[in-house]
Amino acid sequence: MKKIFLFLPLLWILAFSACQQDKEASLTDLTLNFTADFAEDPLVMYGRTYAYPNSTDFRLQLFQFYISDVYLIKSDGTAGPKVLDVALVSFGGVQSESEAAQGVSVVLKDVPVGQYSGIRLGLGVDPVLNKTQPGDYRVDHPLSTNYWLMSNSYVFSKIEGNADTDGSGNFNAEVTLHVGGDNNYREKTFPQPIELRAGQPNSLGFSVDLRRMLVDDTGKFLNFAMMTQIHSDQSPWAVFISDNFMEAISMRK
Amino acid sequence: MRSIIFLALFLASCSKGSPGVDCTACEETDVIEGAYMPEYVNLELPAWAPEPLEVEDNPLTRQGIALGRRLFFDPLLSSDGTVSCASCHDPAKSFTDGAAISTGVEGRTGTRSAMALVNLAFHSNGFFWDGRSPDLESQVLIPITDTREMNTSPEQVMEKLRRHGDYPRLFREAFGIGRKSEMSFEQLSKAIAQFERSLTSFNSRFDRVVWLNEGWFTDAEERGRQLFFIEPFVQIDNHPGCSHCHLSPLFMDNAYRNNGLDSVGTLEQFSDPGLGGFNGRPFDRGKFKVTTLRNIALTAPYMHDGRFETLEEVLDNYAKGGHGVVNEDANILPFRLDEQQKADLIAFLHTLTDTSFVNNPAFQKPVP
Ligand code: HEC
Ligand code: HEC
Repeated sequence: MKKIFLFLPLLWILAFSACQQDKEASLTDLTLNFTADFAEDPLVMYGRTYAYPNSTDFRLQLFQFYISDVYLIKSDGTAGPKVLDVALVSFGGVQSESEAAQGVSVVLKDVPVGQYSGIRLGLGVDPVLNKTQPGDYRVDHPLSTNYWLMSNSYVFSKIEGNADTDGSGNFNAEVTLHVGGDNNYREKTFPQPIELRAGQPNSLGFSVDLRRMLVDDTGKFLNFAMMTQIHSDQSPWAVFISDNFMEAISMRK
Repeated sequence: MRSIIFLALFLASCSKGSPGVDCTACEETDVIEGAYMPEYVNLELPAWAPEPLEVEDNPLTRQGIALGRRLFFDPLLSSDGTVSCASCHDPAKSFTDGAAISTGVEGRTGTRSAMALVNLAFHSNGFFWDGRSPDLESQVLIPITDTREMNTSPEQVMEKLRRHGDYPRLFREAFGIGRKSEMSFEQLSKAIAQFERSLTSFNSRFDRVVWLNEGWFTDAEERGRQLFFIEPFVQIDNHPGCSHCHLSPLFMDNAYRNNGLDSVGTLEQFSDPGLGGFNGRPFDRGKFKVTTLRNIALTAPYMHDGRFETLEEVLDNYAKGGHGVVNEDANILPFRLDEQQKADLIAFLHTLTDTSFVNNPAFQKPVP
């Protein structure tokens, strides 16, 4: 019930804005397309092995992360329209190179057209939304799952797979890296001229280098021979991954 | 699938009186008398439940749910009048049948275990162990036509229902039709789906203790709860990790996973390929629907083929940590629990039993 009441004012606003402006001319769709790589290679689940520091081979089962609180940046550098509350970007279904090339798309409806100087993504679930719980959402909403009851936080990102740490050919190190908690939320602004026009497809491409999330510029890396699980917001390695995420994600040309 | 349903509709609506119906005085007998006053209802859900999926073309009504309930418990939906949905989905067992493999008409057996029907309104990613049915409405056709289950056809079922003393009136009350010839399998499917969506369970001891602060867990249950949910700061070897997949509040995650049951050399070798058998994707072979643990103490035997008789066996198997098959979920890790800890975890699983669900008068076989 409470949900319906919350929704009503929203509908009013939508209805109003739709009447007041010429929707056709002033709003458009914007697709955010995400692709993932592991260093130079496209990231696919299961079917491919990636070389990792310390003579380790790594195979993926799941890579996913939330983006939230997405704003376009106006030409004067201030925040423009908010274009997205939250979305889950999951590469879990990417099982072939063609699927990897296709990437994962988030389609934003009714974005104001215009000239912008950039876009800002929240990496993770922003602190306001992170106070909510799955029970607040419909089951097909991205925030209806991936919740840590014990930490009162969504799991912002998951990296899961298997590692062969001793060159034996057995991938018996089961890697499950789960990062969440407000302390691990990050925001990144991508300065880049963006022109959104009505009546044409508008798309922005982002790519994420998963290796860069686990290995930093100094060569420091998460050693699967020592550690395969991160399931706590307070782990320094969770912070390591969150900091690295800022560098691992970039805008495709 | 859809086309079959539409075909049935088409047949039903074009024939003057349906095939096989005694139609000597069709014009008079075809008309259904009675009122059509649908009462729209919302599922009554506690604050901690997520919102169920919206089904625009099949809103819940009191009359639709009542018709669906009547149909669900009616063996008339099988070829020889012996098997109803409830034969394999018994409310007392959280809508399972207590057998490893279900038995349909003439003692015929299938290959899988009947699934619990709990909180189906929240299932957003397909039905069946392999996910091959996209929604509850289209799911209904499958057991009715499966030769090992109810072994009949939409036409045969609808013919019996049109001739029945009560059903024409019940269909009218639910869907406003004016003639028996307008009764359709699509309406039948919608009514059963409505009844299934009404089967919600959020009143276990777990719910009352955790969200309503009513009562306490016993010491054993509380230790079991810690084991079920705990995310240790440091890596430990008694971390069963159940909540990675069976996560609160639904105790499932609308996903398909390989939870490490079978030791196979290659993915081709799964005796039941599960999701991969349906969608044809090699790395999805051996993945099955993550089922809810709500009312799990009532639904033995366990897993898609009912291979485990008890929750102890389930735990012992999870503790082995799988077999290293390539698509075995990375969250399946070996763990060590002593006898006390095992008993604690099982005590916790019993707190997910909702007796008000299994005893809910609205979910029992209706007295016609
Ligand atoms: C002969 C036993 C039998 C009968 C009769 C039967 N079922 Fe089932 N039911 C099963 C089995 C076995 C499965 C799992 C089958 C599979 O995965 O292939 C199942 C699965 C289901 C599911 C999927 C649940 C989920 O979580 O995905 C639903 C819904 C369902 N049945 C509803 C019905 C309805 C409605 C009827 C009557 C029209 C019915 N069943 C009749 C045995 C039966
Ligand atoms: C990696 C995800 C995952 C984890 C972790 C996991 N499960 Fe499961 N569970 C599943 C899947 C998938 C199934 C269905 C498998 C099948 O039948 O083939 C299942 C089935 C079950 C069943 C049988 C359900 C039924 O309807 O027959 C029980 C009981 C169960 N799990 C308990 C547990 C417990 C207790 C734990 C912690 C020790 C646990 N699970 C950890 C994924 C998981």
